[in-house]
Amino acid sequence: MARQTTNDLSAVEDTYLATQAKAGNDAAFRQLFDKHYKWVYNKAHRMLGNYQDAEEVASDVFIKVWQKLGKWNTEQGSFQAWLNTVARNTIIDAIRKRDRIRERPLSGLPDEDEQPLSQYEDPRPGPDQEFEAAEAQRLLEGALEQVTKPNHRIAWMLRHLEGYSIAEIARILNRKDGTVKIWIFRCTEELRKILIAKGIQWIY
Amino acid sequence: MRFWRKSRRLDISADELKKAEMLEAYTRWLKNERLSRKQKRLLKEFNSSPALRPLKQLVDFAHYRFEERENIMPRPGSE
Repeated sequence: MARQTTNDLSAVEDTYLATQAKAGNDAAFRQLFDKHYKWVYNKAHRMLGNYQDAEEVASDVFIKVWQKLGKWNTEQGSFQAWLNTVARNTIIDAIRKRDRIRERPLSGLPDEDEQPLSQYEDPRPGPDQEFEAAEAQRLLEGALEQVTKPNHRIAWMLRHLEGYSIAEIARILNRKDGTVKIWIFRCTEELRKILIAKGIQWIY
Repeated sequence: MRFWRKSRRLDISADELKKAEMLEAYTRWLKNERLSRKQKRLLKEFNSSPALRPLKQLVDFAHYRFEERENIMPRPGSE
């Protein structure tokens, strides 16, 4: 509840600052930059895996925001949501440009007619696991940085952190669906090994 | 047979490809995305496989910790 209130206040402040910046107030834009740069930078670093690329992308994000701010309005959603979209698209553009993906593709595996399932147990962690989970989250972020193949990490993050589908990731990375699934699987396996080496107890 | 031939040509074992498909089926279920009949079958197999439990836990964790955090609006110094 407290977090929600803080977010609400933050959103109100952003709306005010973005509106001012849109009207040509440089100081307001500077405040938005100072407020959100670290978040954008961290997001870029998690996806790209190195500081230099992350800095460049974070700068590009705010250049785009400056250039496109005139098109943003509150009816399209909050400033933060819009910033998130700009950041995500800029990071994906950077991934495409890097051309570091060298694995050979697999043929795609077409989906069949689909039906939802809901009969499996709820895997959400209980309250007693929260403390350990917070620490594990930090370790998982560190583990992601240690994944040896950038393409595996990028595919994993796009699927699990950014919510893209396999087909979307395949288009972004210019690979077949099956290749993306293999990369994600291999990344998951590598993450498990890294976390075990770090002494995480809940993965065994 | 087509499935197996693809795997050999690309130096990926049939077992690994199947596990990758199972993991994706589980991810789709976790994200409340629709599943094909094949994916439903793979999901059942995935859930009954103790060897794949660590991967399941990792995906659960990413889903419930990271997605929750990603949905929180950015704040200064939040990360």
